[in-house]
Amino acid sequence: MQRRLPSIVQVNGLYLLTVVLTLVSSILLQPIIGIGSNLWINEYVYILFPPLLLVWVNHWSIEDVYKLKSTSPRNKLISIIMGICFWFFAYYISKVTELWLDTYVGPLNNLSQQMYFSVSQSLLMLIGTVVIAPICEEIYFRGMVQSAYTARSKESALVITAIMFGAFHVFNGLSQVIPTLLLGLVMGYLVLKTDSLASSILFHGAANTSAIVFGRFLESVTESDIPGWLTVTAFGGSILAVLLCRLLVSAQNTTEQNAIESDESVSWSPAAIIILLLAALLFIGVGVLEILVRLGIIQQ
Amino acid sequence: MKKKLYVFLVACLILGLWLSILDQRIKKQDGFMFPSRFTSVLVDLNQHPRMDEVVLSRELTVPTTVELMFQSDTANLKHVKVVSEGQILGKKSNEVNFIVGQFMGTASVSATMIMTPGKYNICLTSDQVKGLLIINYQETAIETAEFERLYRIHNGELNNPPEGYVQVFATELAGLEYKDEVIYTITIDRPKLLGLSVYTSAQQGDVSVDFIGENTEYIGLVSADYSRICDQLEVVLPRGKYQLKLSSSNADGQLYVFIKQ
Repeated sequence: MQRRLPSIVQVNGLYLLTVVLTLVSSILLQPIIGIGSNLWINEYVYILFPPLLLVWVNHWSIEDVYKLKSTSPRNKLISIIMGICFWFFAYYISKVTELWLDTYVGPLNNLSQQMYFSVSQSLLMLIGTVVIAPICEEIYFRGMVQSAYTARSKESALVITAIMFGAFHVFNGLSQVIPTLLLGLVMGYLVLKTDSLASSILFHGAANTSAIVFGRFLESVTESDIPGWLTVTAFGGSILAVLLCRLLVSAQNTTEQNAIESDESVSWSPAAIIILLLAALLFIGVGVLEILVRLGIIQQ
Repeated sequence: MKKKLYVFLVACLILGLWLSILDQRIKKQDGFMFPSRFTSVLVDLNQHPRMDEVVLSRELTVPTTVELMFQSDTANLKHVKVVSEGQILGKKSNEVNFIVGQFMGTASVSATMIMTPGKYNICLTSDQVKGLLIINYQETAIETAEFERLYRIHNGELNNPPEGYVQVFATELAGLEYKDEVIYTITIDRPKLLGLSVYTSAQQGDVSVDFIGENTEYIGLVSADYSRICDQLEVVLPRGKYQLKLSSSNADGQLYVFIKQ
């Protein structure tokens, strides 16, 4: 049978390329074009373009390969509610990590308050975060990366894609890695369960919207400590999200899909491992840099 | 779903491109960047020469924190004077002077002042030159309890630190002749947020308090003439040794230093 999925070495290679280009481009372009425009370039050029190029070059069907297809209204609604509920848990984890780092490693100067945002840059940030990032990142991670790994094992695909998604967010700070990894696990599960990228896009969009709607208020009440009510909301939200998972309508697996899943030719080549290790080294470097800044060894 | 998504992404891309181009054009047009919370007044310096001309007049009905940012696209020096009918807390007089050169982008001459109710004017002295002066201002009513605390300090009751701050130094300045005398030393073994409040009631002489570290310098936190209140300066400090140094000559009044760790 002819394989119609990206290979692991292909997605790992593109992942490394995306990571390097995002980092270098952000360093060079963000001061010139602004944070909002830079976000759009990252999403469209480095995150959306590679998976689209891959399907175009190989004449694959984007609907089949990346599961870019719709799901039932019920699944869509559940995904949105889950996104809002689970975001509180993700925020809680990020805050716990941040406070731990602040206390035991050292605090970071809060530069966000000093940053200048023009109206157009603010709009670009808003649309980019709520709409563009969920679509582009889901096509990339749950579409391209998870599909490639699913061909080997569904469970490992879920975990590896979530780790790659979480690690990618180290650029937003060390405290963002675990929460985005957890969000990645849930979004990966949604795609596996519904066989549709629509559910994870809606979940992602709802989570990012929650960050914009509730983020500023929660930042103001968690400056030095996490209030009890937030802990209750976070754990309550995660439990509700898990319960909602049970209400999702599963997609019927096709014979063709099962055939792809049992494809024995899909394996970890040395090249795939080396590429992923290089990406990991880059992430470790970024993490170490943050720790050195927090320790005061280098200036922010 | 594919077609809908493609159309949507292309539509978003057009919108994004338009917003980015708009942003770049605005930046190129005026070159001034300031937070949107500020209200701006543009003064065309090319209209006529100005001598203490009132370019902005505002009325404060309650005690208010007034944030000011001045920017200009011309290097010629403009003298800007803020004159208040009421008192400006921490200042010896109700007048504050600024000299504004060329400050574009996010660079500016800025100040934050707490004023009692009354009118305040911003007066400009400038030659007739091609260019603009931008006055950005924001007025925020100050909480009554906080204003009363600062007002007491302004009137010489210096032992009124903010919550969480502890006294680390206090002295009478009369008869004191100090030059960079170390009055407090703190060693930080890991980066931490430090709050610093320094108040003086000196009405004469030279008083200056500096906060000095290996890579950190805050010079002239207070002075008898310009600023007698340095309230809640909060900074994240890298590990190292920091010293508070006092210089005082022919001064009167008192000096208090409070720290929050």
